Amino acid sequence: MQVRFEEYVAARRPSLLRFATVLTGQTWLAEDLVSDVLGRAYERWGRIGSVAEPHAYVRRMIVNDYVSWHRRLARSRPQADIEPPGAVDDGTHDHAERDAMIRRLDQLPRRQRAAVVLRYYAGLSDTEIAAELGCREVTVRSQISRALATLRLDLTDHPTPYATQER
Amino acid sequence: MDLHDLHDAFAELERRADALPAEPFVPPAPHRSHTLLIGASAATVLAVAGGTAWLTSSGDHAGTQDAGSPPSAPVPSEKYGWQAYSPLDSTTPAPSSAPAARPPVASTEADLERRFTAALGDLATSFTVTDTGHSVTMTMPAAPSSAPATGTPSTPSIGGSPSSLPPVQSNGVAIVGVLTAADGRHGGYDVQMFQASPGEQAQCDDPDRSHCTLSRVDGGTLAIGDEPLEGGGVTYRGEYVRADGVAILLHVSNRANPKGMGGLLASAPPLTRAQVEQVVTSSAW
Repeated sequence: MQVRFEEYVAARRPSLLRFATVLTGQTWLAEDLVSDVLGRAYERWGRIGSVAEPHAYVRRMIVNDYVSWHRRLARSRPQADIEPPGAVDDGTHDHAERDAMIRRLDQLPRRQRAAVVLRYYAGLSDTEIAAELGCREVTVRSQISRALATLRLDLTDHPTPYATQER
Repeated sequence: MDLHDLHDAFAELERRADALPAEPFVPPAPHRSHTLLIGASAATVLAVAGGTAWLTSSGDHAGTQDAGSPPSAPVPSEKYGWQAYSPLDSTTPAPSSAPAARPPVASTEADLERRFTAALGDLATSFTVTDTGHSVTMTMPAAPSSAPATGTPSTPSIGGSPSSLPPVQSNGVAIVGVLTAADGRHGGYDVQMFQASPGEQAQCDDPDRSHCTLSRVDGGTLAIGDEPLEGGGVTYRGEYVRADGVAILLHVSNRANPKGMGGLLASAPPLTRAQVEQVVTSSAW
């Protein structure tokens, strides 16, 4: 049964914004991506709404837009994007480590960052990531390996995805 | 650092997303895809994207038509705004002997289509335009902008007024579609023309790849490379940043979409790497 576009947006837009923010590291870019993708999805909803997993399809559109070459953005980025005004103390005392990780994520090339997010946030397999990024599985593993080196991550334990379902 | 720190970073980014004001989504007005024809020496029929494109032997830019239109003679479509390209249209004003100076960077999709057509020359016979985009430079304010958008949405909103974003300055345009080479091969393409940032140079998408070369051409910088895709696909990429800072970025693939999606349309992209270089460095831009 096809999901109505309005129902899909109401139910899934918050999840798309979270995913896009984790993917891009920037809330304003995430809003722009999600808005643009939903606009295009709206035009094609007759087909997208009928696929088995429309949310996975729309998420893939976001990933493709992020790694695409359409977006040429100003190089400078405001400090406000790292520490947004009105930030709420979430009780975590180790903000320095967390913020350092966010900065290192920002240093990753887009494809490497997308591969890391798809594996450790969205919980996709290498096969699924390869399909999303349009590359070979060996390329996915190479991208993630280089990314983990940049992030200085110690994964001596078996790495488990952050979420098997998007929230 | 370990995976726990990565998860903390993800959680913080999620929290920032949840802190965004709950702005409703407004669907944009839909656009239509169309086909542009390039002058050819032989008549050919090509069925593309729901429309039929006829090529003529006029040696000039011919017209195009939507699916179902009579094929006897190409007729320009007003809604796509390229009437000036049809040699059969008697209402088309004759070009002036001294063409008006045009901006260095294409500012509209139609302008980019014209320049792309000129740069392709004899290398291709037609291309479709199934998607468009704009390159933008976003100027970020010190604090999030909360100014409401003006104007009335042309399509019904889902729950209210449009979301507002930081002010943007368009610095280029992009078009996407399927290209048909002179030898009849089809493949996805993506071409973008924009004003590069000061000091910006052409670069390879991934410096670790072994199939990308950087060089200097006429005071500008050129990057030519290829990217293997899953299942036998390949995308050729050419980026040329001229000495005046204007950049042309072109991808062509033997897949329907140069990002690696869609069906395999041919054994190789419709343009060779050398032809990609020829197109992006063309003086016709």
